[in-house]
Amino acid sequence: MNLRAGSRSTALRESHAVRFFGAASEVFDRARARVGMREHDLVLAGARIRLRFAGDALEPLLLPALVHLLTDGVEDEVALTVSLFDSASTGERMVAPAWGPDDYGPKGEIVGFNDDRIRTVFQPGVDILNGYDAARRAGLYWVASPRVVPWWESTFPLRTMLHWWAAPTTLQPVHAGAVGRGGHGVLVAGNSGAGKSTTTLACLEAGLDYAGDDYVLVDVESATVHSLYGTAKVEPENLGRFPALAPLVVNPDRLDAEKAVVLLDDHRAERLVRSLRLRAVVLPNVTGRRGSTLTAVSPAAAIRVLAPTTSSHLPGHGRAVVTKLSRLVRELPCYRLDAGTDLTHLAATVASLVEP
Amino acid sequence: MVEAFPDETIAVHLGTGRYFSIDPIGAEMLDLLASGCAVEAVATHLTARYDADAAVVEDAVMDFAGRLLDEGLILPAPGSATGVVVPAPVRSSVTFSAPTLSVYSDMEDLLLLDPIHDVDETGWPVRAESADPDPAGPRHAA
Repeated sequence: MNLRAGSRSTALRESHAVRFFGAASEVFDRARARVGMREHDLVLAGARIRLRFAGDALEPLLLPALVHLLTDGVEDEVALTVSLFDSASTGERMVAPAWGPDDYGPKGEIVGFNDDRIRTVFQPGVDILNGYDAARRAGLYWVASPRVVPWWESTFPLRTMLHWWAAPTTLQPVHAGAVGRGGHGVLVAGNSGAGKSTTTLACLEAGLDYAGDDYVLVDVESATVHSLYGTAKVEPENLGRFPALAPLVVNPDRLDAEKAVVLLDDHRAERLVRSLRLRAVVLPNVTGRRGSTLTAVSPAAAIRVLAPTTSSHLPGHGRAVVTKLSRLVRELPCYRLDAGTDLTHLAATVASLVEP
Repeated sequence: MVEAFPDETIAVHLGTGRYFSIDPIGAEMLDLLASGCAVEAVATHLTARYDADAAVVEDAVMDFAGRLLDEGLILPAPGSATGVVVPAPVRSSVTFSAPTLSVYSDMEDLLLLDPIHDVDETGWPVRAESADPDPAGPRHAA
């Protein structure tokens, strides 16, 4: 028996993908002509990103998590322009999908509409169209109605778009939090429920700097983490452990179905930092014991956590995700953080990694 | 794709999103098999390299190759011979043991696509009125 490495090829229909992206972009142009457009510029990892909202329906859903990145400077070239709109409030109906019901991939990737230039995702059940044209560095974000935008989308808006934009660079959105002190930081990685948010919020409330609790942008070349979202999310049953955050929750009436969300730019702006130089990767593991401890683990142990949880959320470029994150964990010491119930000690344990 | 770390190799099936942890002997087998070497030739190579029992090694290679095939990490090559020459074995002081292939599939539930219940008049899928937009259940998508 002879064996060889597996491979899978997909026929590319670039012209269809480009045509669809162009047609959908024309719908956005009609929508902004009809209801007006509001622009906001963000600075992310030194790059200017322009968000163009047609109408005012999506802005309050998607912008609050990003306000700490807003800039009013005009000197830099725009690295990415994202056009966002919905049909319900603008009155502009999206063009019909140029594919059939069997063409939706596991993460909503449209078969035949994803290639080196164009990315197209519409995940049934989430119902958000994300499109990206790498040649124009342009993104398109559409929903039929603002009502369909899930609550959690407001806590990490545009992560798919940023993933595509970052693909050819050394940047990578990572499913992780990041905290630090004095410009140095720790990447806190884990699956949902591993203790990622508890760890990062314990550090925030202990006075450490905070770059995110769920998704951050990492430059694997310089081992620098950049804040993406100025939000904090807490399981409602865990809210009692953070009494100072409880009054700041923006969705107290929906905690039966949503995590408690706090917008930190409103309440912890001084601790919300744009970037930190990474000193370590920690993998929390909730123990139930009082104290917290750090144990060195291999880079492979870190990549087993970091890569699957990141690539499972982000469509496309899976190989790049694994390659970039492997580079990162080879460069940094990695630790299992046995996270105890004493949050002060937990924060001090993490802080010990960034002390001068 | 494969990323090699000291004492552990991570293999990823980019189609299924499944991650695999492979020990050094397994990584060596995967490397030889993926380069087109025949199973029998790999077994002969490893028997010499680890000075091990030929039957034990052959069973281990056959079993491991089967698991790699089942997981889609390798595919059977067409034809009966590829002409790939197995490198000369370098003796190792390590005692041969059957390789391990650990699967990390925690994320697979996140990859399950919601069924398309209905489409609107233009063909866009529409959500059932009672459907939770989060396939992993409320509160857990993040």
